[in-house]
Amino acid sequence: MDERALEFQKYFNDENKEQAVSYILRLLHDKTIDIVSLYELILAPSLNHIMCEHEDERICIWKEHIKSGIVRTIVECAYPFVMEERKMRGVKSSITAVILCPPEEYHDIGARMAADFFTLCGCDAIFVGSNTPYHDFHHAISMIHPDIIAISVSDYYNLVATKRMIEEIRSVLTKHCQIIVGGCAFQRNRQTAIKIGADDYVESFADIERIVRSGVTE
Amino acid sequence: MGTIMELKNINKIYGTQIQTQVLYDINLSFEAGSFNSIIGQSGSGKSTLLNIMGTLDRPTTGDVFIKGVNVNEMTDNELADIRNLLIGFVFQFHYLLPEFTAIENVLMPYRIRNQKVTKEVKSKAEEYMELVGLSQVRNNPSSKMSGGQQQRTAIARALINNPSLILADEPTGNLDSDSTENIYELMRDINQKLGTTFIIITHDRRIAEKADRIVEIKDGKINLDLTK
Repeated sequence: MDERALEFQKYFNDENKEQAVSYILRLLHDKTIDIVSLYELILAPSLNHIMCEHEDERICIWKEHIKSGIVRTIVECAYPFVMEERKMRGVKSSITAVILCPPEEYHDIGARMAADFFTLCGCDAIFVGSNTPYHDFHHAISMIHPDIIAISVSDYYNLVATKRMIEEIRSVLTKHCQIIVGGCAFQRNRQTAIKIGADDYVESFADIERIVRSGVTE
Repeated sequence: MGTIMELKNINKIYGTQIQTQVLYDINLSFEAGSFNSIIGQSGSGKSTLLNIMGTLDRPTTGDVFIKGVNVNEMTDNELADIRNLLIGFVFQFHYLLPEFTAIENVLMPYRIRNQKVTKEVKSKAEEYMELVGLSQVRNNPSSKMSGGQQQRTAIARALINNPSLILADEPTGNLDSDSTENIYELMRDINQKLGTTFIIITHDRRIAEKADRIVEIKDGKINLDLTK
């Protein structure tokens, strides 16, 4: 395991928000880690493998929320570094990407990280966030004219709403737009992405970069 | 573990002069020991589907296989036997008989099938009352129990003939959120301890999201079939 990840895990498992945030900001400031490595090697694995040895499951959920809060704070604090890295990369794209979660999906940190990945790829990334109502988004599409809509789903029950959302989005699209999906809900069965009508499944920065690049060359 | 229930090309049309088709070419199979939910909006055809799976109704066309046997070829009496032996039912309303105690209600399906209740079966009924957490109130009149207790009694009743399959139609439809959670935990416990297959029709996301498989019915067709 990455040494930086191990160090972070100590603070994270102790729910020591102050130390965890300070440590990561120091790494970013010293340029000993980049945004993609931070999200893919440290934050996403930490979120995906939250362990709870407490007997009372309600305490586990409470602890999960505290730990998610630590990651959320880090991601928000990292935004200036995202902009800086985008500048350094020097990539520009005319692509507008909208990143959202389906109705009743409240886990949006993955979507938030994906939004930063689109920003790093030079896109105009619009992070809509959790629990996006079907109808509100319809009206927004005609104003935003997105090239990519990325939907993040954690709870597998929300795949039902995601399928409906994709159908409804497609019914109002007036120009080509790629609808991509990602998130824990697809981890056990990636074919589900196609089953619910998405064009593609993404799980990494490389996947997003590939899709943005293919969009640029089209 | 093999397939316990298989539906092949099921169509259901109500009416003769004015025909209304409620199910269209449904093909589904369920593994023994699995825990499944069927969701869909009101009028989507999910209760009709459950009635056909439970042999309470016959499809207009298509075949229903339970443990590999085509039930369409059976007489009504044979179907009644299959229902009593292999399938337990839990409905939104418990349908307990108010003049009997909780444990007498639990024993009723056995009594209908076998007339005489043996000591062993009485002891099994008591075990099931224990399993559903009602041993203290097993001799209370069913009409004097809370909604959650009545539904748990209905689940114990569904178990008395050791069914391989429990079909539940909105089992938590009348319950508050705490009782819903208790009923889910109970059904999951039975699924794990006894290997009983569950097919649950529900509007309640707290039940559906915990099932190993979600089948969505829309306008009489399978719109989505997801396995966790």
